[in-house]
Amino acid sequence: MRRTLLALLTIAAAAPPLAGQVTDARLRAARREPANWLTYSGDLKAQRYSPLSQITPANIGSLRPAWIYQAVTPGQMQTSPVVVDGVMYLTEYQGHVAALDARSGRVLWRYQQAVPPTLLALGFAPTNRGVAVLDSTVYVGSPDARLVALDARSGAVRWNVPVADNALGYAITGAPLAFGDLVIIGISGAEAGIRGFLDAYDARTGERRWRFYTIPAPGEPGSETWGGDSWKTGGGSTWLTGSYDPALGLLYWGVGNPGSLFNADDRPGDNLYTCSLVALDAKTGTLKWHFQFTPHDTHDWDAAQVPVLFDGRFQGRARKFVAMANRNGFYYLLDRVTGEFLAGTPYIQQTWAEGLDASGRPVLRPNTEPTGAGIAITPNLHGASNWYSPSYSPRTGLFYVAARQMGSRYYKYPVSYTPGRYFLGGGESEFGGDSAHGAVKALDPVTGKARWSFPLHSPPWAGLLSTGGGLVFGGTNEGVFFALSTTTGRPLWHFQTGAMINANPMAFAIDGRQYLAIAAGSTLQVFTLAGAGTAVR
Amino acid sequence: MRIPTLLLAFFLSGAAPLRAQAPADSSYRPTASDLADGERLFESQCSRCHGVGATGGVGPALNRLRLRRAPTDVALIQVILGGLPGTAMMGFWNLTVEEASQIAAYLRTLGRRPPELVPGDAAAGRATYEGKGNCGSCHILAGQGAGWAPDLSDVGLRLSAAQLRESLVEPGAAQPISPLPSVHGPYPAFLAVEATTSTGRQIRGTRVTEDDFTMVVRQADGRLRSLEKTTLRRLRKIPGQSPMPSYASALSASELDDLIAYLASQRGEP
Repeated sequence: MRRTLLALLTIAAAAPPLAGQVTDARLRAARREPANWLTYSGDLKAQRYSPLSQITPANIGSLRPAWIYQAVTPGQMQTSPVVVDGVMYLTEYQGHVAALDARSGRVLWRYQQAVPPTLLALGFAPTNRGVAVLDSTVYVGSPDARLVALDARSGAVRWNVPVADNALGYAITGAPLAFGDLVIIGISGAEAGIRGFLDAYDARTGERRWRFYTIPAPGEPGSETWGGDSWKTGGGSTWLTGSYDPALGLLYWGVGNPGSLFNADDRPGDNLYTCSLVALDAKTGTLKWHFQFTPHDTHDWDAAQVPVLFDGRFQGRARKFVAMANRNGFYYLLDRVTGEFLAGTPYIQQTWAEGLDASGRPVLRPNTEPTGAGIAITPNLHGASNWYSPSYSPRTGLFYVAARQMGSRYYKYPVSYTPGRYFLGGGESEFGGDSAHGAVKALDPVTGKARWSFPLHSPPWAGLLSTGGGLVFGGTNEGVFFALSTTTGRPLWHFQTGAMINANPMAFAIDGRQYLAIAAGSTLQVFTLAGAGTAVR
Repeated sequence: MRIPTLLLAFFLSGAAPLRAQAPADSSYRPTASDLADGERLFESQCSRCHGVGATGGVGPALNRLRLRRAPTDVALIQVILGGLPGTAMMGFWNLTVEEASQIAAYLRTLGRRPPELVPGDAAAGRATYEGKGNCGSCHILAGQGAGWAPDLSDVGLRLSAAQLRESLVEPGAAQPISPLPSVHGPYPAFLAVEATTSTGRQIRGTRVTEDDFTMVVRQADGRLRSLEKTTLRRLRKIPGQSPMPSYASALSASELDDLIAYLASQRGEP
């Protein structure tokens, strides 16, 4: 009996998946099919690297628009499209979903979220950053904190479950992460004083499998880092998609800022696990290790950046790494098996820490907490990086990040908690204009030192993609989609999209032809080489 | 505190653009504590651009009875929360409707102060504007004049007499601001630049817009030059310079007073 079952399983595993079906096996080996972009960051390691190499520094001069999708819903599009066997799944503002023919840009189906007129979006716009696809189902979060499963062929709803109560400020803006038989989804809301968590749902039924609270309750490990009842409103959102190592069975997820944001009078201590990276057993949601980047944060420096997984050598020993270019201005390299801190280096000019100690804990400069009169600190609350993605190229072995160089004056106010209202305790007044700027930086992934830097006119809001063709793609606030050399940072191509880019680039291929996609304003713009196919002659 | 309920419902709808009209609720009566909170919030969030006490800075003075873009309290709250698209005024997402209402209430108390006394004769100032000052060769006022310098049709609402004097005497210190060349304003609206092209040609003028790869420069003759930054041999930005000449010595003290009186009387009324 057991042998028969095993044989059946073997056949099932060996049988090629139907077109359009994203099996767990395909997700685990996503970079072996470079024509597809199967998950938010391209693969579960979250490298945002495309092995496609048709477009190179030599021919990029003939990169041209192939098609443009205009969103039905106005509002800044922040989507990272997923492409499966010629079909593109993207989200518009408010989380509406469109499935497109990825060659022509024509709409196959569209799903309209039921956004309630009473929607609360405290601290961020009701944006959406993308879908997850597993087997033949598309998963998307909603701005009122529901998780919806759609049939990939028709957009019909398979299930629709509440994740949390939007009336308390909970919301979903991030893309889910799906693998195995699970859908992982994080939530926003720390600006409203929620208690954060990360959830896993049964991909078939929508039943909740586990919940990991990012703020421990009294008696749990870490609860001693909170004062009184402050854990109940301790924040710790999980609003950006993490990464997954199938071999270790560990899920890596960044945790956001504590509540209230700027006034920490009621929360003495480190405030675990805010502003931390947590590694969870994906099957059970239990905490394996954590690393806190910014203990007792009062500057809104969420660790909501993409944790990137890659392997390499550290001090002569082979290691499995997880790296994060953190909002607080430091690049961190950790051992992803144990959580051990290996290295940390500032990648912008920051003014709050002398450096990091041997355990990776920041050595604070005096007087860095917000005050009633205000105090100038770099980076500003949007950080040295933000939600947008970095890229790691296994080809060059470099870590690429779009860095923001901007300070601000941080203020502290009295604060009290009211359910469903802002819970800030202060604010900031940013130093913008010509005094602020940015850069695309290529970091040595071990030392964090910049190999090259390409200056940006203003602090960016767009992520990066590196490709096997030797190109890094990025975008600017002023609407420019551009390409740099992965090895020198030299600008090779640029295109004015006509609207701010606040999104991540990605790449895919159809019929042997490479495409690049970037959201700009409320459009998705797709590019390919002129002359190589049917679209342009 | 009570806040305009219709307005609250409007903002809670979240996705709605914040520019739409909402009816004012006249039942809002701020308390002394609301006004104190409004002042505290204004000083921390707004004074960097609008000056301490709303006396003006890189942004317009707001210590006046009539605010051109915010004729009602509700409109003022909408501007605070939603910003003014196309200007350097951004929306303050981090403020609640109550807090924006407190700031608006505080500003309205400033507006009720007596207007500043401006020495000088506005009618004589008009003659200086049109004659000796030749201001219309760059500025528009009530539809008359050239258009590339700031429109002065309502400058009396935007700038105090002290700011008008500074603009005339030391124009480089009184740089107007612009949301261009990026969403990350405020940027000086008339930044002086000098560029050298690959063929060695010199281009001087003021920056109109800029991104990582391009810059548009307006030359003194009014012509626009669209530049590709990567092809330039040299590009220099010169902050603190204005294309406007100083009138400190070109006009007498009484002519300056008259001109200031004339400009202060420009309130955008036809």
